[in-house]
Amino acid sequence: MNPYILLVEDNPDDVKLTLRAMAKNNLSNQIEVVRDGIEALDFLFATGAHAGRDATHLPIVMFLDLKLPKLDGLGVLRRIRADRRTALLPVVILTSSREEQDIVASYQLGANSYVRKPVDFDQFVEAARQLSLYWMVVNEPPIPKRGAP
Amino acid sequence: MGRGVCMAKMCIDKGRMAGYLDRFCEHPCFPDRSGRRLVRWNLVKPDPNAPAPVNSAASGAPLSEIRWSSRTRTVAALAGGWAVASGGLALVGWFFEITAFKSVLPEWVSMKVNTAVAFVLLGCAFLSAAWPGTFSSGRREQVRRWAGRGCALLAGLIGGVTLLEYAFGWGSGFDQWLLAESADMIGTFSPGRMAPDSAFCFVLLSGAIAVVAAPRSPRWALLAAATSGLLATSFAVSAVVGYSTPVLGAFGWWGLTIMAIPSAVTFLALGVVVMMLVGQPGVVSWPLGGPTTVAFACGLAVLLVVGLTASRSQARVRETGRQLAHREQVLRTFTGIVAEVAWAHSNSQSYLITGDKSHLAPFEAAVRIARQDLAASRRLIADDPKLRQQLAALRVQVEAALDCFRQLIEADRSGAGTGDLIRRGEALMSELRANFRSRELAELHDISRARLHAENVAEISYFVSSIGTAFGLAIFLTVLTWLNLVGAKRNLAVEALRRSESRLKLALDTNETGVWDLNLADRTVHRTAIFDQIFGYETLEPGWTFAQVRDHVVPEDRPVFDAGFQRAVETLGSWNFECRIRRADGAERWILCSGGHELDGRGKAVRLWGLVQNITARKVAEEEILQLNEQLEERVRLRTADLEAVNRELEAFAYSVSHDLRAPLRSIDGFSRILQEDYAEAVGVEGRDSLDRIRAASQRMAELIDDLLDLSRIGRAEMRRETVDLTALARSVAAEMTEAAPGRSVDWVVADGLIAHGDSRLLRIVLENLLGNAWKFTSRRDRARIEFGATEQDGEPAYFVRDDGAGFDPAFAGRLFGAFQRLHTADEFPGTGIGLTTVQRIVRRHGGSIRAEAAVDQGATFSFTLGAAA
Repeated sequence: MNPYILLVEDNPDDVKLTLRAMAKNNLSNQIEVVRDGIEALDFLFATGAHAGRDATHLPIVMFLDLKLPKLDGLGVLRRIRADRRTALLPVVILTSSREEQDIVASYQLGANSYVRKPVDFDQFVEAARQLSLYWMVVNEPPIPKRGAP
Repeated sequence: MGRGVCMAKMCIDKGRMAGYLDRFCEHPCFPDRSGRRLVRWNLVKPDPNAPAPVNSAASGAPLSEIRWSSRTRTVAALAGGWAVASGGLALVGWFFEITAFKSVLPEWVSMKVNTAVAFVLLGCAFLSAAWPGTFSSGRREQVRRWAGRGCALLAGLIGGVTLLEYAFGWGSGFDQWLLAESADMIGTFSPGRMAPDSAFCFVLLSGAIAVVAAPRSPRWALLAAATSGLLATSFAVSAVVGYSTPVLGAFGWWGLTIMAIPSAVTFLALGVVVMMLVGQPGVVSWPLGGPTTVAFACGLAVLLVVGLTASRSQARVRETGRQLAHREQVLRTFTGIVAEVAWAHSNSQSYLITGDKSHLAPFEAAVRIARQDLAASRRLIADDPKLRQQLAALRVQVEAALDCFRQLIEADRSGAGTGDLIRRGEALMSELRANFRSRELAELHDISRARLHAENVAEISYFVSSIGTAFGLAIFLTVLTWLNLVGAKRNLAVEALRRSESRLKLALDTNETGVWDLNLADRTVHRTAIFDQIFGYETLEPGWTFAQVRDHVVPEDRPVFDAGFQRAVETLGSWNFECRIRRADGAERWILCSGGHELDGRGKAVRLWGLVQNITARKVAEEEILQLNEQLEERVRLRTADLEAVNRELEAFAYSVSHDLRAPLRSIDGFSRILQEDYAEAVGVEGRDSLDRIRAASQRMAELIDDLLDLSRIGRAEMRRETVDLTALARSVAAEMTEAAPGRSVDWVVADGLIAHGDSRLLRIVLENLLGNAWKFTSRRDRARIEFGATEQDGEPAYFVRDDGAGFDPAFAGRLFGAFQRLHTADEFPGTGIGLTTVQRIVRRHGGSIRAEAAVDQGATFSFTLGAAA
C-alpha cells in the first residue's frame, strides 16, 4: 500500500485548505483525514468506525491538531505513544497556538515536530510543501514503507 | 536609679519594712554581714512570730571610722615621733644638765620633766595608732591597741594631776618625783610644775588620740577630738605669739608657769595632726566643704589665740597694776614713817629751843606712830626680800634717829650737854632724809617706768586683740557669707531636686511602675505605693517578703521568675524579665521585673534596687497585633487565591485567544486566496481588489492577535531577577537586525559595561522593541546612528536608546505608550502600535519608568529606569 499522511483536524475549513495545499504539491491522494481524537485512535488501531482497516498499515507521518473535540491532541499523542504499535509513529503537531506550554508538553509527550499554522495562505502552502517533502521523502520513517522493493 | 531618686520622699514606714528585709537578707543568695555568700537557692517562708531584728546601728548613733591611708599614717607617725623626740631630748637635757635641750634659749622657760615624760607617752600613743596595717594575730593587735591607749591615758593623767595641783594648791612632790628643779627657774610658778595650759593640752590630746585610734567612734566623740585639736593648737599658737613679741613677752596666766617653746611647737604639731585625721572627707558628716571647714577652723583658732593672748595680757597688766599699787603703798608708808621721824625731830628741836613741855606729847606720838608704821610695813612686805632689806635699813636708821632724839630730850631734861647729840641728831636726820629721798626718787622712777611698760603692753595687746578679733570676725563673716551662698545654691538644688523627684514620681506613677530599694548595709527597704497597687492592694501591706512576691506569680511563670533572680544574684548583676501575677482580687496581670545590684568600690553588694511595671496593656496590645496579623495573613491568602484564580482565567483566555481566534482567520485568508487563484477572471478587477483587501485585513488581524498575546504574556510571565549584561544583549539584538537587513548602514554605538538587574528575557524584549523601533524609524536615513547607553538620574542608572531618525511630534507624546496607538500611518512606518506598550509594561514590572523625548525629523530618545534591585 502506498505511504500516506494522516491528518487529524476538526475544522473543515482547515481541512479543505490543507487538502488544497497538498493538492498543489501533488500529494492529494496520499492524505487520510479524521475529524477528532477518538476517530484518530480508531483509525490507527483499526477499531470502532474503522474496524475494517488494516491496522498494520500505519501512516508515514501524522499531522495532529491540538484542539480537537472529544479527545484533544495531547491525549491522542499520549495514547499513541503508550501503544507499542504506534509508539514510534512520527507525529507533527500542526496547530495555531504558539504557547510555550503547548510546545513543551507536545515534545514531552513524544511529538517529533511542532509547526504553527500561518494565517497567510501562501505561507501555509509553502509550509505544507516543506513538511510533506521532508517527512515523505527526506525523513526515514521508523516503519518501513510498504510496497518498497 | 541611684542618686537621682530620693527614696526617702516616697518611702513608707521604714520600721515596718524590717520584716521584708530581714527575710530578704536571710535569703541564702545574698551576702550576709560578714561578706560570706551562700549559693544554695532556698526560699525562706516568712515567720510571723520572729521578733524584729535588733540593729545596733539603727538604735544608736551612727559610728564613723577614721580612714587610715598611708599618707595619714605617715603624718601621724611623724607627729608622734616628733613628740617622742622632743620629750626625749628634754629628758636628756634634764639628766645631763644641757640647757639648750631643756629651754632653747637660757632666758626662756624650760620644758619640765613631767612635760617631757608626757610627751614621750603621747608620742607613743600616736605612733601606735599610726602603726601600718594590723598584725596577723589578734593578740598582737590587741597589745598594740591597749599599749596605745595606756600611753594616752598616762599622758592625760600627768596633765590632769597637774591641773588638780594648781586647782587645790598641792605641793610639788608630783612635779619633782623624777628630778628636782631649783626654785628660782624662770617663769616657773612652783619648781618643776608644767604650765597649766600644757597640762590642759595634755588632757585634751590624750582624749583625742584615744578617740582617733579607736576603730569606730561615735560622731560626737570625733567632733570633740577635733575641737581638742583645735584648742591645743590655739594654746600653742598663743604661747608662740607670746614668745615672738618682746612687748607681750612670755608670761603665763596669773604668774603661773609659762608653756615652753618646744612644748608649744609639739602641741601645735599634735593638734594639727588630730584635726587633720578627723577632718578627712567622709569620716564625720559635716555640712561644710573642706576649704570652708578649714577657713572656719582658722577663724576660730585666730579668735581663740587672740582671746588667750588678750586674757594673758590682761592678767599680766592686772598683775603689774597690783604690784605697782603695792609698791606705791609701801613707798607711801615709808614716806609716812620718815615724815613721823621728821615730826619727832622737829618737836624735839622745839622742846630744846623753847623748853615747852607741850612738844613732848607729839614727840611721843610721832615715835609711837613711826614704830607702828614700821611694824605695819613689815607685815606689808612680808614676801619681798628686797623690800625687807630696804625696810631693815630704814628701820635701823629710824630707830637710831629716834633714839638720838630721845637721848637729846633726856639730856636736855637732865641738863647734860646736848651739843653732840644735837649735831648727831641733825646728821642722822639728814642722812635718813637723803637716803630716803634718793630711794624714793628711784622707786618713783621705777614705778612710772613699770606703769608705762604696762600701759604699752595693754595698748599693744588691745591693738593686737582688736586686729585679731577683727580678722577672726572677718573670716567668720566670709565663711557665713559663703555658707549663705552655698546654702542658697543648695536650696535651689534641693528645690530642683524636689521638682525632678516629683516629675519622676509622676512619670513612674503614670507608667504604673513601682520602685523598691533594699539597702543591704543597714537592712532598710523603701518602696513606692504603686508597688502595692500593682499587686492589687489599695492600702499598704505591712511588709513584703520575697516569698510573698513569688506567691503572686502565677505557677507557670515561676520558673522564669526564679531563673531570672538566681542568675542575677549569682553574678551580682541585673535581671529583666516578664511574668504574670495574680492580683489580690484574682485578676491576672503582666509585670516587667527589672533591677540590679549596686556594688561598692570593693565589689560587694550594698544595695538592691528594682522596678516592677504593669505591662498588661502592652501585652494585650501585642496579643491584638498578633491576632490582627493572623487575620491579615488570612485575608492576604484569600486575596492571593482570588488573584491567582483571576490569573489562571486570564491564561486560559489568552490560550484560547491564541488558538481559537486564529483558525477563522486562516479560513478567511485561505478561501480568499482560493478565490483569487481559481476565480480571478470571474470576479473581475474590483473583485480581485476586494479579495486583496480581505486578505490584508485578515493578516493584519493575525499580527494584532500575536502582539496582544505577547503583551498579555509579558504581564503573566514570572519575573526572575538576575544580573543582565545589557551591553551584550543590545549588541546581539543589533547583530540580528543587521543580519536580517544587511543592506542598511547603521552606526551602532553601544556603551560598555551596562549591567542591569532584571529578567533577561523581558529585557531582551524591551531592547528588541526599542532598538527595533529605532531601526524602523531611521530606515529613511542613508546613514543612521543608533545609540544605546546610560546616564545617572537620581542615583539610578537611566538607560536610553537614541536614534537620529524620523522622531515624532512631542505634542502627541501622551499617545506613545497607549496600546495600538500610533503616531505615524502604516504607509510611513509599519507597526501595530503595541511595541512601546509592551516595553512600558515590562519596565513597570521592574519597578521603573520610561519616557521619551523627540522632535520631528530629529530623532527620538527613549530612556527608562529599572527601579531598585529587588
